[in-house]
Amino acid sequence: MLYDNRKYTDREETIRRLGYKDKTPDGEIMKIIENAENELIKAAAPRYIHAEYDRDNLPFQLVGEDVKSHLDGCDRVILFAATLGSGVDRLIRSASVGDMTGAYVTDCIAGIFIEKFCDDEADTAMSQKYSGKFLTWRYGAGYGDFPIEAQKDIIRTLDATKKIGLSVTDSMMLTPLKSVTAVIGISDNELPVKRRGCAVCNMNKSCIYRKDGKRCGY
Amino acid sequence: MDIKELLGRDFVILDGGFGTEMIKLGITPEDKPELLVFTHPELVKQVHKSYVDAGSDIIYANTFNATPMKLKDSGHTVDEAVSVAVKLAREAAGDRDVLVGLDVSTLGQLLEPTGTMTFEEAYESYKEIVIAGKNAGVDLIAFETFTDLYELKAGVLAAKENTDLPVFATMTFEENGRTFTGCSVSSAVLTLEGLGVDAVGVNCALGPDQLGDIVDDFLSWAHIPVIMKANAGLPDPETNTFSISAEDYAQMIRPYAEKGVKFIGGCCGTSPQYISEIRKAISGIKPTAPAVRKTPAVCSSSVTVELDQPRIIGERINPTGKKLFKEALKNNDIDYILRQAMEQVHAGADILDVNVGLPDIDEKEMMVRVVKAVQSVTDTPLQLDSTDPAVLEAGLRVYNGKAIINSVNGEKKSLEEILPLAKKYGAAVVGLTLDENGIPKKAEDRVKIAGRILAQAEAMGIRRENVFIDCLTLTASVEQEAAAETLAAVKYVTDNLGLKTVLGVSNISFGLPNRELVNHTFLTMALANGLTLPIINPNVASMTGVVRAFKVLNAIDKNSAEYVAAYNNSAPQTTADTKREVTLEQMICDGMKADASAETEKLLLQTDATELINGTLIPILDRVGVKFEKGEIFLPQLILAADTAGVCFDVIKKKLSSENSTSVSKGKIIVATVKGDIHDIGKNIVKTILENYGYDVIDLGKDVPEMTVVNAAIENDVHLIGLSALMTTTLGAMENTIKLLRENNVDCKVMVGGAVLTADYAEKIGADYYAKDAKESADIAKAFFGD
Repeated sequence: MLYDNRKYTDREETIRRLGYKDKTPDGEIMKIIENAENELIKAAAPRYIHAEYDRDNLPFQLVGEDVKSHLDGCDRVILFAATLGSGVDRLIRSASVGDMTGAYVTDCIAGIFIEKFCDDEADTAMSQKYSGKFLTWRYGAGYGDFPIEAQKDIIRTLDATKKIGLSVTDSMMLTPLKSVTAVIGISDNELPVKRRGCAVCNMNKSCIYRKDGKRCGY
Repeated sequence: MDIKELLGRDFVILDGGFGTEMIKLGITPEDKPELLVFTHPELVKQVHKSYVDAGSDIIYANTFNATPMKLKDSGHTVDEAVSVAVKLAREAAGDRDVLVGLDVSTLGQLLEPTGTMTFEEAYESYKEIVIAGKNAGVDLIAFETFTDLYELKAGVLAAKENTDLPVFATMTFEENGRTFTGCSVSSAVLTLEGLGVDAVGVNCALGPDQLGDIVDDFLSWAHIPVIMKANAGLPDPETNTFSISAEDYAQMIRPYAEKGVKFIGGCCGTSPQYISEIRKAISGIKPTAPAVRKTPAVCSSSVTVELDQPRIIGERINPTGKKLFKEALKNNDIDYILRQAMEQVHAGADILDVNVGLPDIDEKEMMVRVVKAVQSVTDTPLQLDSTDPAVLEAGLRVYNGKAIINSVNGEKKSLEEILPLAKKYGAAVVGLTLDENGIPKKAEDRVKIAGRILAQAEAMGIRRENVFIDCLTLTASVEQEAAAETLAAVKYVTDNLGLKTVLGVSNISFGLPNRELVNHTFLTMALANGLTLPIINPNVASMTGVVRAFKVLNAIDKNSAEYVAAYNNSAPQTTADTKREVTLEQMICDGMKADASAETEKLLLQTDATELINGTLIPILDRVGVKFEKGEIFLPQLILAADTAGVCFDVIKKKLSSENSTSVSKGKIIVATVKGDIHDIGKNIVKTILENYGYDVIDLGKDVPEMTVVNAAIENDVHLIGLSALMTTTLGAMENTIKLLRENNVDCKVMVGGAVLTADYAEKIGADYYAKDAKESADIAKAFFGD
């Protein structure tokens, strides 16, 4: 399926994540942001895949207390994976030659892009599909005590390499780089509201706020 | 029966879905697909037999998942899995006249540059698989469901070099006509046909109702038979059924058969019933021979350049006469070469010539590195340029697409050494019109050599449109009449031999003043005489301009669209007045690269280089750094200032190099993203900042093995090393790298940084410094080397 990539950029959020908080970057940086958005819109080929399983009958074991508590009250789970495709990796690599500012800004926009794509596109489609049921948010491998090694199981189970071109290296890096994997719980009953926070954030491993022990408040 | 006999038929029926059939027989996701031939041999055989009964001429053995990686911990070898699978297929075929193919697919890990598996590693895995297939006695090798042309090339090369079996190759496309990695149909055909596969096409992902344009594209590009194995429409995940029935599917296949698709089968969701319906539906159809386009073309994996109009070959990746380029080659400064590549691409090059020949370096190794690096940042097709056949072969091997070889000539030795490479790797080849007797003076004699090269190439099975002729530019100041002979030869070769011509243009003006004027006049004349491939410096605006204007005046550039796009939006010229008001500091802070470069040149006329660096540039960067620390400016501006200061440093380096002055380096630093880690943006930012504080940065890249860091530090006598890691899973590699540096008594300090690192952890793993951001890495370097 082909998506309208223009929907997944967010200028305000980009500026915020570049560290400007509530300030406005000057003209030159704004030009760089605009250009990076346009290039990314051309380069991104976002796709996602998901499949539903019995919580107790997954082809692999869910390890860790945090993910178990996340799935409290859910008897079914969805395994989820999404990627922006290798074109975005290439775009960032190619900008890194002589235009590091563009590369950095593109990297940042791509991080927002994949979250927005998952939120707006995948979450919406899944809520429609499971209307009448209640879904937890996407719980990412590597968050809390849910080991990052689960990425491998999720990708293998979903056959994500064949279906959306997403793979994982031996050191558990997703390739293409701008990708996510997650577990989502399905329940017949309303679920207690849990804060989404960093677990679903693509930046959770590299966040400048988390590094200082703070949160961005998103 | 053999494949030759099958190729003589109008149609050959393949088999259909395998996995979906096994699921119908009760196989679940927990049954590992790579082990089915061991765990459920009877079911595997049953599915094969049902296809044989339905009328498949070729069945694919259940070896799709028999890869070294997937079988690693299974207790079975690839050899075992393949031989058992082939035996089951043979038993199912019984005494029927059915061929058995080795089914080969992707390895499950992405290849470089997106992934970490190297081309050479992929080749080795495929070698193991195809040799197992050969030993098991398959009739052909079918590569299926590929999305990365590079991985498929590794497989096809392994098959071609280790077996004599026929090879089929199909890729999986999305509706936009591209694979996941952006590979287009034209790139797939040009590359795979060039490598000598016997049939090419598409399988999986889409139904026959969605493949119209994609298959048409295959038919218009391929000189070899086309394969089509479509899905039975879209799957319903709940019921595991597919949307198109066997009867409808077979009816949808009819028009493809009429158009000339020779190998027809099915993929996911199709069953033996589909195969027998297809057989019925196409019986009696007399296919028309597809009209294959005659225009020569070259490609990367995602960009195809058709030579139906003038195309610029950028000449700047070449050390000849370039001191800085030579230094870059000696210092392994791949970044310098990549900057040359990107600059030319932005300036309008359609193809990049790559020449890395220098007496004191390992040219072969450098060619491989540069080809891999350039194709990781741009999809502009490449022309590989060397006098050494071994260098050309090494480059052709790792090139992802169809390249041009520069060059062969009329000498016997050259023809014998170079043409087989063009044949084996499916490259186009430039033929220079010279031989044992040198360059003929007269056009007609050059044309004769061109004819000889062409004849020899065709005799070797190279199609004539893949031979380009270089009629050779001589220096007008030495042989004034020679220009006309060159132009006459270009015209003759174009009109009478029907071949495309290549011409290095700038040699014409050697020894004359105002060379640019002579160059672009000669280029204009050559284009008018039929030149297609000028080799020029695209960064010279007047040269690229000639080609653009020529295309407008010859009605090639429809509605002057490209011309307008290139010139309409050019920035208004800054007036001298406004220029004077802007200081170098503002230029650097605002990212005004062109102005900063001009200003640096101006300042160099009155200021000594060292003084300019220490007295002007570094203080500017220091002030930028302070603003960053105070939170007055943010990371993008810090990097932008460094990027722009980098342009100033380049100007200074160029001047010093032309004056043979000593380097202005403030010290050497190694940076690397550690083994296993491929997220290198942080390291690249650090590099940009450090370089622009005047340090020589040796960038070892990402996923760098521990010992590579150790060896680089020793070889280059470096005493400050920066290591970066993004993930907790790769911190171990960082710790090991530091440990090995210490064990090998490398006299160095190590600074570390990266998202998951903390100062405490840095200390724990034995690092000397922890840099929380790029700015701090510059502070550390300053403290280390002293101001």
